[in-house]
Amino acid sequence: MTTDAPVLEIRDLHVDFRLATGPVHAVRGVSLTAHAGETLAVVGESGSGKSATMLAALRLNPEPPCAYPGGQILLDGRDLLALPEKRLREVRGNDIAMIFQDPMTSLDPLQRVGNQVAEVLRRHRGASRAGAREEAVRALDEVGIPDPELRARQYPHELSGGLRQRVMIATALVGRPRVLIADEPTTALDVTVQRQILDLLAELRARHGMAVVLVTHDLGVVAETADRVVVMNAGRVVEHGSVAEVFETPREQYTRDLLAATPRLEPTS
Amino acid sequence: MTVVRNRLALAALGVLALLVIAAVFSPLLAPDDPAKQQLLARLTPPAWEGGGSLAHPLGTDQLGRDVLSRVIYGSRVSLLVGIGAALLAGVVGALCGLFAGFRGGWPDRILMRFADIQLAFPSLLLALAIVGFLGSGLWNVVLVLGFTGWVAYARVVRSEVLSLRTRDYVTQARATGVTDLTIMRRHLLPNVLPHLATIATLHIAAAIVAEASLSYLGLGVPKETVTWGSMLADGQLYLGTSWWVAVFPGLALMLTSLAINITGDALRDVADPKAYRR
Amino acid sequence: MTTTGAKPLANRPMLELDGLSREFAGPGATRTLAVDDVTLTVEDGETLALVGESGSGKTTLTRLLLGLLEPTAGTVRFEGHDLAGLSPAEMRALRAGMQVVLQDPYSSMNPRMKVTDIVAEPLVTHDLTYRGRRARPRLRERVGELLESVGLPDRVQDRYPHEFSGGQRQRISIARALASSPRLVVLDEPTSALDVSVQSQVLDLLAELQRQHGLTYVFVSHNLAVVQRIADRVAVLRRGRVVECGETAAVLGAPEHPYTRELLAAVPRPDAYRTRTGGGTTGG
Repeated sequence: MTTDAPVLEIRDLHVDFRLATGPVHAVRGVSLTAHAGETLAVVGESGSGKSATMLAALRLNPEPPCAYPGGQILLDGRDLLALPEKRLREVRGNDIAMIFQDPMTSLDPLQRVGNQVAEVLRRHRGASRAGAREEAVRALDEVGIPDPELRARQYPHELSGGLRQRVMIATALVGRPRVLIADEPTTALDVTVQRQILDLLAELRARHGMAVVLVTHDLGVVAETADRVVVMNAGRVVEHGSVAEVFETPREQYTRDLLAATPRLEPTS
Repeated sequence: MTVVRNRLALAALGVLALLVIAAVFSPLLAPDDPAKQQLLARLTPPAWEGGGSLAHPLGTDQLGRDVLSRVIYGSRVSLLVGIGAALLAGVVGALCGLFAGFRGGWPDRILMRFADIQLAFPSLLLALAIVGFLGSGLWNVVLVLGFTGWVAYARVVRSEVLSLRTRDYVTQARATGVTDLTIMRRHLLPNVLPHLATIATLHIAAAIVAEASLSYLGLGVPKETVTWGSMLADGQLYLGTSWWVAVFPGLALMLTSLAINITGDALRDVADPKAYRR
Repeated sequence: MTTTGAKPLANRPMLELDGLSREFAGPGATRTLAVDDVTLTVEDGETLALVGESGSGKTTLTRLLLGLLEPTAGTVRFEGHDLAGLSPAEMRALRAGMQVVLQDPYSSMNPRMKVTDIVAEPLVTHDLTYRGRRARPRLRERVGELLESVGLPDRVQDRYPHEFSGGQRQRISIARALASSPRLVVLDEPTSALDVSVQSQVLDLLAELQRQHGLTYVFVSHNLAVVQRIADRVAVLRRGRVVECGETAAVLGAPEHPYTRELLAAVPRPDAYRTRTGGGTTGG
């Protein structure tokens, strides 16, 4: 954990979706910070605005209907909400990257896995075609994909859910981002695989000194991996603090209810 | 909702309403008997051209028949053929698609192979062959255009059913003991109906044009029945000197077909599940 | 309440699976054994949890025991009746006695049907007296009772599925499953798609309904914490086989099979932060 200036700072962010049926205020004044080398967990149930907030950090919400009536998203002090689309594209992947719940919808089903990683490498680092291919295999190796040479030649549907998520992580990391946003990265995975992916994220975070923002609904996952936690409900931050603070002395009733509702395995013997 | 919001679709609906009114109330609306020949007034130009008169607002044809009246009466055949063909093809195609998609296996393979073979045939050529065999006539034209059109319905319904039948609510219905027939009627058909409506609009437009083509070739409905197609065929000889004989039925045909297609697009937007959810 | 369908045979377990296997054609000429020689019994009134990860065969197994899929080998007996020996009409009648609640509350309902008709589907299927316009008031009354028993007001009857949240939909699904007064309900990950707060309410509801109606549950789940809360016995599935089966407390407290131990170790624990060293990798 570090105490210097945050890599990512969101200040009083508002996100609206202007739909035909009327405006929806998805995010209503959210502030949070993520520091290099730490994992920040953003916790909430469906409709809490957690995903809209994190998609906003990459300006990935479709605009329109999405609009940002207020707030700032500061990456190293630069306000992303003030950047034109062209500059944003340089920021995405390079400074800040994101992985999603379902890797199948984020990977191109018609492209070999290795090519997809190499593609990102060429775009971000201007690597040569042959160099990128070699680098891609190394990247797959780094995220713990066994037999990366073989896997690089396969298509996404030939991989298991866990391996696909590893590929996603590899593509997210090739730009060496300072912030990695992981939106429910293990929700679609089996528990044993979830454990491996969480371990991998922690290891990569330590090695590269990234800030990891983990969006999840699972307080068990938070307790296992996060340093600090932000609890969201109905578009607002209702509680934030270190994991120990929030879990042991929750200030808000909502947090207490959430903790109480979380199914936990009781020791039986 | 989407249909109303879309101004173009609204205009298209207006044109269609006009068409229906024209077809239903032809005798009241037409200024003249469409078959009445006035050889002295043959090839009179429209009212606004030099030599035209208000007695024949859109002029007369080579036999002195009133073009406006003929265009109005012609809408009857067009509408009948279009809707009749779409209805016939829709029912046959939907049943085949539903059965093939839900049952799978050999009935599916046979039906779809048959559909492929028919698709490989130019449909107008097939229509020509059948009309040649059955003889011309209004109902034969409907039959022929219905038969050549079923494949599109069957394919769309089948592919929809293939995805619908693995939905949880179909599994649930099966687990509950609902019979296959009821599942098709209750769970599958209502969910493919919007798609059917979309194809139907395209098919109606195509059938109207196809009827015109057949009539143009002299293989459609009997000579004495007024249709836009036969008017086009008659008028093409005079295109250089008396353009109005062919242009007005042509215009009516184009407008109708365009209006139906636009309505179809709007319907597809409504059928979209996201729009459906409002 | 109306009870229809075949009469249960005396002195037999509610459900018996004997040497049950199911093969699927894989890519090329290969064959995959999705369910491999499974033998299990479910006693009247108990909750048996089927636990497994993706590819464990738990979905195939539920489809087999619901008679939606034919086994390649082995038998399924429901209340003593061998499903393979039944005529299609007998099978349909028997389905009144066993119902299913599926995981995804969004795809398990026909989007174009109203709640009344969704919940009433098992009723009109198995009880002819509920069919037709004249039976409508009685039908609506029964559906109202069912909705009330799952904690939903009567006025939701004329609404469509898209107007409800995931938790409410799952309640509607449960009401539908209860409509034909079944003895056995297969719950296929019924709470996995729900928010935790809603999940816990639905689990409470299921326990309450089981007590009220003396239901037997087969509860499919990958979540051991949920299983611990609701199940009397647990069968752990891996690659189509039951690797361990026994009382919940015994299996989760003193697992014998290494795979069960691995599963248990992988469950994220809300108190894990205590054992972690600050900023390091995950602890156990």
